Amino acid sequence: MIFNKKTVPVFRGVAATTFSLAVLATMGMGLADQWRTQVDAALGTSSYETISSEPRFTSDYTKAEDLMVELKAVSVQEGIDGTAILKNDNNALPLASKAKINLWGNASYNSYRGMSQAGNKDAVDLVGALEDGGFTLDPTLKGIYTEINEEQLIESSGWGGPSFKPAYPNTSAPAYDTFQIREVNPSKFTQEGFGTASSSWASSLTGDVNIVTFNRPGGEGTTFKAGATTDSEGNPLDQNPFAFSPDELAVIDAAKATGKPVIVLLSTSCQFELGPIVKGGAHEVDGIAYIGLPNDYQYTGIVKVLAGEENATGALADTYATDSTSSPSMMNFGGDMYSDYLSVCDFEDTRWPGVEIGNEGAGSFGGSATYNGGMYYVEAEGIYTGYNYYETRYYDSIANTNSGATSTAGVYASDGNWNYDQEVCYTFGYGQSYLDYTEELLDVKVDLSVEGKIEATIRVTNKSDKKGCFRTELFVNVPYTDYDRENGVEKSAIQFLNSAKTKPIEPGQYQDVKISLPTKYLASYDTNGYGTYILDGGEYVFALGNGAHEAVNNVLAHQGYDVEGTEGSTFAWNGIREGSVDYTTFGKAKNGTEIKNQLQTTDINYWLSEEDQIDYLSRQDWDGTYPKNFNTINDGKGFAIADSPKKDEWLKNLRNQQYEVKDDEPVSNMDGIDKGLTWETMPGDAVNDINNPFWEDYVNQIPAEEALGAIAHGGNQADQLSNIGNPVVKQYDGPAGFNGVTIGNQKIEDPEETYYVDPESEAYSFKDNIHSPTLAGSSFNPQLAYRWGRALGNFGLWAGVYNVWAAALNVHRNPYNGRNVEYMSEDEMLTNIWGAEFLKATREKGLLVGPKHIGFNDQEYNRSGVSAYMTEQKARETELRAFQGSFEEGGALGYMIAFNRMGPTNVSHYVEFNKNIIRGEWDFKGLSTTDMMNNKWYFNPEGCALATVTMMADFSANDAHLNQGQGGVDKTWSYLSPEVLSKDNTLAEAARDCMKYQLYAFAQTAIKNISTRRITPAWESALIAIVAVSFTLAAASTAGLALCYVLDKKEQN
Amino acid sequence: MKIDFKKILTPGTILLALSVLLGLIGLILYGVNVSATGYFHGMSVSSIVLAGIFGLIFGIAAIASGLFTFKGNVDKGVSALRSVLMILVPVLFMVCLMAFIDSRAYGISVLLFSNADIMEENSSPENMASVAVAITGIVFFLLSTLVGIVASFFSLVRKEDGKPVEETAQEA
Repeated sequence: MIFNKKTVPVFRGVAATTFSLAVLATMGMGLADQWRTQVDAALGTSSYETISSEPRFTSDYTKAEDLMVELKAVSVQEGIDGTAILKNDNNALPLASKAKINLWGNASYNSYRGMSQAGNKDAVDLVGALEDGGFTLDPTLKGIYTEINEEQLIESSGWGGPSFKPAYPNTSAPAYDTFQIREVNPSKFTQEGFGTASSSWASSLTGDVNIVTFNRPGGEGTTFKAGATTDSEGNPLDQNPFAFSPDELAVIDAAKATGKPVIVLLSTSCQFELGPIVKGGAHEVDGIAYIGLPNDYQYTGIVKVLAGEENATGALADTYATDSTSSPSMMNFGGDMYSDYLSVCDFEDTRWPGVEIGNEGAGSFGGSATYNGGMYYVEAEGIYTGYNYYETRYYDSIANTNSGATSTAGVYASDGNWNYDQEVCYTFGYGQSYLDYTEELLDVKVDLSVEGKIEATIRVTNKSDKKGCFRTELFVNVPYTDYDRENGVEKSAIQFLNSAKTKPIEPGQYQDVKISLPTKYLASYDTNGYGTYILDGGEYVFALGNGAHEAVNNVLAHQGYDVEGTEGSTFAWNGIREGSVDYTTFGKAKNGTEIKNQLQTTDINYWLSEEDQIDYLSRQDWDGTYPKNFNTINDGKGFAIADSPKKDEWLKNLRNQQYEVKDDEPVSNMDGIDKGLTWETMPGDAVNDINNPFWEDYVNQIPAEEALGAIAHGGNQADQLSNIGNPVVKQYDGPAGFNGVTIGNQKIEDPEETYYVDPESEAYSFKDNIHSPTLAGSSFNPQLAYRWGRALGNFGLWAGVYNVWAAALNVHRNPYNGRNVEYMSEDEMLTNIWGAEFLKATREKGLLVGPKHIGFNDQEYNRSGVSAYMTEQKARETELRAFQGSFEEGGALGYMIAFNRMGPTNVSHYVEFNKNIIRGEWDFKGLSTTDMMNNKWYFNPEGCALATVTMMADFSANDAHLNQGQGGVDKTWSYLSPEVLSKDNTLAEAARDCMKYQLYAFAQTAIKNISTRRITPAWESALIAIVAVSFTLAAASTAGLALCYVLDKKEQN
Repeated sequence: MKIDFKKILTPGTILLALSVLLGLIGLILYGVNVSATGYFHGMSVSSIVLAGIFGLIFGIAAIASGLFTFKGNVDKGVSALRSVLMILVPVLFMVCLMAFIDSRAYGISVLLFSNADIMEENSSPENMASVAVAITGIVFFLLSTLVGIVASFFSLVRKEDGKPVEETAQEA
């Protein structure tokens, strides 16, 4: 008999084991379900089977290899189009065929390549590209630097233990802290314990030319700090992080000592301080080229330009000032606390009873309970960032001599008064051509209607003896009138509009190039007067130029000032009567929505008392309004919330209480009204019409708590919701392409299937995140944007991936934001046009692209909570304009919001911004997401829902509910629950509206081609089996244990 | 009732006591993780506290019950109860383990497994200490569970001849 005293330990032990196992498997299943996508990715399984219906969108390619070839070709073209020659003396460039090169600089052999280099097997670096291009690298230098890469390593922390990477150069940007410029001084090549070069290494160099590469990194969460720099040894340097360090200058000097031409390559998104190496500089070199941050294949294109196989047509997408801190935006950068920032948390938050919530900053990903509303900065420069500042001040120094343009305010590099030539090394849009050519602005037509276009015709003539392509840039000078001065409408003296690259032109021939763009982008925003977009009457001077400075000189020459201009480079348009103000043409959006002031609360003056009002920078008085630091006013204490006449409103916003959940609006439809409508049965006429009654009925089927739960826990993947049979849609990142996805991602096994990829082929494991945003910016080629969008859209079809947060379109406020590596330019129109072309192309292939991060991500430092204050004109004419093209011209169906606040309001909760401007004015009908939800006291679902934000990003999945926390409340926002929601109809309706936008967006894309069916992956089957078996054994062993006691007793009896 | 400490000097008691001790350390680490500044500050999980405390109580009760000598059916009842408590101890610590993992998984993934820039930005000494404490706590709960499971295969009570008895029978 097995049930006796001797077997008690066995049954007891088995019971303990199996009950524990049952708990493990049961709770583990819940955990794994939330992390399903990550578990699938780690184990190579899938939880969904995609069933494709008749496709609306099809690929341009029948073979994966052809797509791969195109993707590579686009990347190479980025290198060709984006390489900008800034200086070219003594015939340094192009390089002679098969030249021998002394390749200097640690960044030539190892460098920061951007945020997500794909790393395909045939990825090319500078060394490989030069050697492939037929050049020979001096073996001595190559050996020295290769040894440095292999021997000089730095520890990189990680949980798996320390790992090591080359120490030179520094490829890690700081988080608003000191940056160590690591460059090996050539004096160390022979230093014992460091280098093993022979003492005669310098005299043994064989190169005909010297190339030196310098690099600065960047990345998410990184921000540089002015003046905070050390050298390779860690010694403090009295310089900015973008100035050349003594070690870097020593490298240049060593190269110059060879007596051969020296060419410096700048691999960066930040603007180096080039004074020492430009004409007249103490370390002047022969050639300077900007090469951005190349990804896998761009170096091949870069070398084609350096070799002269392609004409140089790239240009700078940013102004290179002599001093990188001379932008007036640097007067207010980084931010600091309100003097009474703790008053924000000095109250009982009924949403979080008993929780002590602070107001200090948190890391990007939160941690401690904090509203994180304590820090602010004021973008007091207004619209005057980048060339808008430098060129407008230059213009006024000539044309408006009473404006204080030549005062000493804002002098950084001038001797005495402000002098453009000393303050700026190279302007926005500047880039030399190898081949001589001319441009003539033949005609400009302006259609003054809400959907009208500006169309310019430019004759580009090849004056050289070689065939080549050329770049042309169109700018405009708009009238700056008395009305503008009286009403505080600021105007940049020169504004970039658009650019184009020609097709190849034979020597002596010409090509008439058309450049067009919507007329509405001529308008300025008049906050204080008409409260809408206006066009002033007067002369509009359209101008060509190799960069903004040449264009503004052409304008000045046209206007009769004594500066050198180029004949034929301007065209005057007088379509609006002088003295009048047109506030009606663009006072309404395309869809008829009246455009009016929406962003009052982003202006710090809204919050301040009359006597505390500040002046933003104005070209009327450069001297008197040059920004001061508004974090150090009031004896260094900054603004006090308590001093505001709107104190309570201010505090409410900083506490993220944009919406307070109601309890007096019963929801009539909590459970959803099932009308049998499904994704598959969506009528054809509803697919492209959000006003079709289908949509309202469809989303009314969703239980209210699931609709809000889908917002609250929406990121990583959009889950399948009850009653509607929508497909599961996973979201991907990022601006370089789909991270971590290959062409063969679908793992289709049937060779007859459309998107079958041979697993043995190179294409199968080819990764597409090979785009370079920096080189896209310096390409000045909208057609290339379209081409990249088309390639990416095709990739989505082949890989079976449909939603990506790509197209990072923020503008560079100044060089110090480390995230600039993902953004293209300081200029809004260059970004606008690029985005429009890219989005247009991706939509044609059914890809849902969400541009990011809309809303003034001007610094990564304390990005998740810092308040950026600015005027509405600045907001609308800079960053919003940068994104606007993607929406209105490109047809974007999604977007991601920046982490920060505009004014005191979390941009993800900003109703006026998201609902009134983006959905109302721009007619946007798609999905929108927060950035990663990292702080539940800063983000909340009710704020997002009312702002029509359709998802809050997180890592988990299968959690579109409000009842997964303890006691049936939301697992993150415990004050929300189905019961709470049942009393707030406004919130419930807002949540369903968000689902409508989201599902409608999916229906516009290739997602409508598919439905997904949930399948059970092997790991889940195993867990289910473990649960079943372990509970069974647990029950059996418990029964056995009981029998041991009972039967043993009977035996005794 | 007679109290006899020698009665409980068995491998089972040592293992169960070790399990309780490991569980206690796990609870302390959880408490430190919640109260200390750092990423997981304030992130309390009531089920960990509840299950952990009951695990400790049941473990101590199971051991303590062996100190006393009962007679007849009382002894049988106590023996049966002891077995139940010995089963519940590892189960409760398993609940602690899984609840701790569930509540910390997101933060651990952000701080250790997301992209290099995010990890670098968030790797303050406080945050990394918070992660280390969380992971250590998880490890202790795991060890407590495993040791508790092993303990359940052993008797807590020794015979008068020095060998462990089985609790189903007691000399009258």
